[in-house]
Amino acid sequence: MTRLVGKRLLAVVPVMLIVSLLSFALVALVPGDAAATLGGPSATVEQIAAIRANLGLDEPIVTRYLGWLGHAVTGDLGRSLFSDQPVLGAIGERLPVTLTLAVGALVVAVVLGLPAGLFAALNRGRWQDRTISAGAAGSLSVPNYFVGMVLIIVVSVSFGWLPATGYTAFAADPAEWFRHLVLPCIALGLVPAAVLARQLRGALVGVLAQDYMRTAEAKGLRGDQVLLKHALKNAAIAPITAVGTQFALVLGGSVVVEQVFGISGLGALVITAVQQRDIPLIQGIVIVAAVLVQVVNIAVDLSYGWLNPRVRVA
Amino acid sequence: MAPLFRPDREPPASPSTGVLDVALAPILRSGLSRRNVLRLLAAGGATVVGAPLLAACGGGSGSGAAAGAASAPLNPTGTLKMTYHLAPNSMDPIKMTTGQFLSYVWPMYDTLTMIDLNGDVQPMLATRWDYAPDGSALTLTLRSDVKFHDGTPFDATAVKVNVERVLGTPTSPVRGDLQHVTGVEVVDPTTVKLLLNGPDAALPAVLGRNSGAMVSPKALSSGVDLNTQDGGSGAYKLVDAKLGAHAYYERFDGYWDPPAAAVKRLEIDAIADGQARLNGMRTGAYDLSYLTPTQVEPAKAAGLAIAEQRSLWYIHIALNWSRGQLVDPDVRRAIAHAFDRDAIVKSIYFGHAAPASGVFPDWYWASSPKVPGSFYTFDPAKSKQLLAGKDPVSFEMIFPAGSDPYPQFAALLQQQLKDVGITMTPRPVDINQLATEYSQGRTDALLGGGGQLPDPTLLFRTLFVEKAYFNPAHQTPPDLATAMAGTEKSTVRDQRVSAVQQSVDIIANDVLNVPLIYPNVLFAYKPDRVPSYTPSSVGAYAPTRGVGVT
Amino acid sequence: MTASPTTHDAVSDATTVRPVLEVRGLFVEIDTGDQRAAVLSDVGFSIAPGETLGLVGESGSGKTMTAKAIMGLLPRLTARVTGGEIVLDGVDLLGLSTKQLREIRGDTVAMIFQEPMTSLNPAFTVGDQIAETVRRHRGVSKKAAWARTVEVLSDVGIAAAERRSRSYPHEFSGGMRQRVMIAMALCCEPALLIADEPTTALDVTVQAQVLDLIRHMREALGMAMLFVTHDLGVIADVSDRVVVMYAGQVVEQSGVLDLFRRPAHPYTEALLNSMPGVEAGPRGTLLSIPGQPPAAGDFPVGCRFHQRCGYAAEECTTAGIPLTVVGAQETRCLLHTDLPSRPPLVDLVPEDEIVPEVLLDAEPREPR
Ligand SMILES: Nc1ncnc2c1ncn2[C@@H]1O[C@H](COP(=O)(O)OP(=O)(O)O)[C@@H](O)[C@H]1O
Ligand code: SF4
Ligand SMILES: [Mg+2]
Repeated sequence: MTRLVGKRLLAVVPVMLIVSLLSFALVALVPGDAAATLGGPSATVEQIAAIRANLGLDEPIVTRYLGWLGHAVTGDLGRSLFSDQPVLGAIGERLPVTLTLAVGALVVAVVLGLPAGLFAALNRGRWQDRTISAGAAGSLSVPNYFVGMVLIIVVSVSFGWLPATGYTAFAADPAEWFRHLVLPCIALGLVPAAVLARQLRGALVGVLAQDYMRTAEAKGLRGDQVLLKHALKNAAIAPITAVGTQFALVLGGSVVVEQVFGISGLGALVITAVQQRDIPLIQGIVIVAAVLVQVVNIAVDLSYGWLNPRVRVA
Repeated sequence: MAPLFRPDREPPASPSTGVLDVALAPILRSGLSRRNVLRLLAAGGATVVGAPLLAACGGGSGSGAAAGAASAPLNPTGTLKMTYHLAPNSMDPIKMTTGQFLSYVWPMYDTLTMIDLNGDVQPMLATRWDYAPDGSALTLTLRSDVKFHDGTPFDATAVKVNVERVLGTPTSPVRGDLQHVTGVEVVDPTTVKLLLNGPDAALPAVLGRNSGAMVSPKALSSGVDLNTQDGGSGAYKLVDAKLGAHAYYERFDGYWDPPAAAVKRLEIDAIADGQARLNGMRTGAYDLSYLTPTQVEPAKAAGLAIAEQRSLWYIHIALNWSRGQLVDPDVRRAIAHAFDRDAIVKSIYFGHAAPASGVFPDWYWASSPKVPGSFYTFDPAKSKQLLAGKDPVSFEMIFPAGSDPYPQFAALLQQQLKDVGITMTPRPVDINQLATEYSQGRTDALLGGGGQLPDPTLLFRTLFVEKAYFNPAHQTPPDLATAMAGTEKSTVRDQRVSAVQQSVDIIANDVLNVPLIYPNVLFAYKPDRVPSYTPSSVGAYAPTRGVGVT
Repeated sequence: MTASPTTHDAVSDATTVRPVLEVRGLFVEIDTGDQRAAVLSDVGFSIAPGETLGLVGESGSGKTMTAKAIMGLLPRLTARVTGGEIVLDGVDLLGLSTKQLREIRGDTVAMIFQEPMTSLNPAFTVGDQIAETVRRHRGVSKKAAWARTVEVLSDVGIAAAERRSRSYPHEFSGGMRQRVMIAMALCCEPALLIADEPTTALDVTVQAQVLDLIRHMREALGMAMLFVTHDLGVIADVSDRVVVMYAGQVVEQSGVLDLFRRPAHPYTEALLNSMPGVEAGPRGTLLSIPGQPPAAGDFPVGCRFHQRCGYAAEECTTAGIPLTVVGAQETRCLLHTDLPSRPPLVDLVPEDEIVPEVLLDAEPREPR
């Protein structure tokens, strides 16, 4: 087990290298750099040139990447070109917000998708199943920001039940924290919920037809034991994989949803960073996001071994 | 110090709208414009909520509602919550890359002079300023009753420390504002002399902006992180700043001008997305918000009051007049006459703008009577005549990708140019990279914003002087160079006027840029919370001094 | 011998003790997508304590449906009991709620299935799957449940039960898995064990061992058993009495010796004739029964067997045939009543000719 984790963690290293190189190259290759913005509107040509030289932006991309990498491997991701904040500090300020959103979205996905998938599978072919399938298909075709806008108009603006904008830290006010999270998490969570419901339904329909489910029933287990223990554990691989994949998409989706809800998370930060060509910050965000996604992937992989003893390394 | 080529700093463009446009793509492809989608959404909300709100407010829109609520007394322990479209890259005034970030500076830092809502320079920490007769110095007389939040008294030494900080920071975006300052001399605690290498008439206005913001010398020497922490003497202390997200302030009790801090707490949330800001207003999360022209009607329908102000802000086509066919002044003139500015005001800005031909609006002291807003008449015949016998003209124009309303704007311009036989190819460019793209000569023209500066010389420096980064021609017509230099030399406004007007005339006659419109600055406020609000006529800033809540 | 039509609930053996299980007039319909088809019609039998009832019939005759109906395990979405009673220990199971049924299943009545390879949950250790049953019905501690698990696993002949209880199903062979299934069924010492073709899917070499184990365990626990199989040879090995099903109906019910000596129904006779090891039928014709059994929803009018019956007459095709008591046997055939022109079937069958050795042979049979 520890060896498996270790092996997986080692495999992350080349992934991070490739990801960081790609993002560095992408930012470097698209036109524009930070100097003009940093120089301010009344900058002179010489001033901009000086800033560019100062930032090393006039050096070859390979040199710049290696320089960045040299610091990065020691854990030093540098400072934002614009705020002069340490990159990790700037990310650290935003990450909890976005992570909370992402986890909240996945909670919504589980809270909605799990019962929906279960219910659909149990009523396979009936109107309940068809309703849920249609609902899932609908959720998948509506973009998250649109859901967010509609939720805001209906829930916040019309009924005034929940706030439409902003974010309150948990530490500051847990109740407000929750109230601010509900709508964006629903907006972000609907697609993963639909994916989860679909995957779960599909997997469950197969599992429910399995002989061992009949055995579980024959043993007189309670309904919840039959479903949540015997069925779910076997049906979980596809949905968990889906949720794992959705995590990356939710992280990406938060970029837009944060805008709609006026939340300053990682998404807002990345938009600014990319637009300003704040390379250290972009690299930092890419690295942190990639690590997160990798961690989730590893967790998903590890769950396979737990869910399906047959894939465990003997 | 306004950004010239960063329309994201200006309404109604915001970085987020670009993202949203990408996200909206499926809907947009269905034939609805993004704006219409957003308006539909907004209207939906308005029809649902508008009726009860209107009933409650007795049909509140604009000043009427505000006046009705004005009878309620101000609450000195209240909190003013506002949302603004921009987030500063740093709370350190001299690191700020954009002029409008001053909205975050003003509550916490006092400046040596103050730019009032009309764009005029007024006393603040400096009660008077006098140029040496030969222009070799500017002597400031300082207030003696000012303390920084950390208890340090404000005096001439503090001015010296601060000015020297700017002079010693060559990478500061505001370093250029002090280009004529060579040193500082403390005369006595309330008198300080800025030594100049020549007269600089723009200096008093400059001192009302970032480089005039006074930081406590103690904070500077003790290494307070000004990126996120307070170091000022302003009416409010910064208590919580999260870069890119918000800045929260609380009243500084020892302030020398108590009415300036009308509320106990001031909260500014940066929300890039216009719809999100409006939603925040509708749901009561904010008292005051920056507004875009498309939002005026939905905001009114939601019972919000609208504050609208003419301004020194313009949208123009910056032309690289040293490039291709644009070298020919007649071609540039033909372009300038090809546009139906009234149609632009109506269809792109919903009437919340005025037609522009010069870089300054008619009402501003620096405008030239020879270049009124109507100077470039909409005259396709004239354009065609100017182009007669020439090769067919074609050029490329970059504009901010996905930022409302630039794509529609560019498309409209393309059509109007086509009507006079000019082929203009619009190319969307990532918002923050427009400047680089343009300045490095990789395109012919740029659709963007400019102005928003409290002194004409400051404007000339950004765009028209030879060494300006944003002047891709890297040259200046000699007569213009002379005229612009003249605007620096005479330090009395009345004497400057002719030099300024001469510059404006040359720019307009040579068509060194093509001004199109002056957008109005728009804010929405809750009339039952904020009795009245007046935006700055300098531009899309968010003044909060003296703004109270009931 | 006077034969008279009897009602379906006739119990052939005059048992004075209350039966463990009594099935009366059971009707089950199934939704086949385009129609509702009767899969069980008027199925009835009873099992006395300690008795083994064999349930035999060709594939598709409704044996598993019957077993599932007793267990309350009919396909929830498609199957429906439309009539009858299933009385277990004096309680009509059809009147119970799902929740009450769950209390009984695995406790009073347990079942082992035809498919040992797939009947265990691959995601849990076998010990876990047994222990949860113990805990569910005995409400004992985890430790006690585990102790019982190890005990019952070693009872069914699993060596190193302690260690093996922590193994996953995929670490067991088919025969071993069926032993685990047996252990699971027996862990709460049920009054009735339903074994649905428990050896059919196993290697022939293993079949006998598992059959032996089932017999042994039944004796050891003294429980009643419903043993379902399509294999008359196995029936001969384990049953006291036999119910023969055809097309969703009970067509014969006899003591095991009677059944083999003088099958009361032409279908039973045909089955016997088609048994491997029986070279030719009494008429020297059948090695396997010609034709296919009718599918549910496609049952013919009259005797459901008439299309394949060598004795079929006009009368057999008009109306449903009642179950008739013929001595100690019951049969659903007109030969005993309305077809006097023919001698009763039982008399036609020479006894000595059909008693297979297997009947007398207690040893596991060799693979055929
Ligand atoms: N789930 C089902 N759906 C539809 N028909 C079924 C289903 N299960 C069994 N049947 C039908 O019911 C009849 C009885 O089946 P079954 O009880 O399994 O027979 P067997 O005697 O072989 O155990 C057969 O005709 C079979 O086709
Ligand atoms: S009733 Fe007729 S058809 Fe049916 S088994 Fe008896 S003889 Fe054969
Ligand atoms: Mg069967």
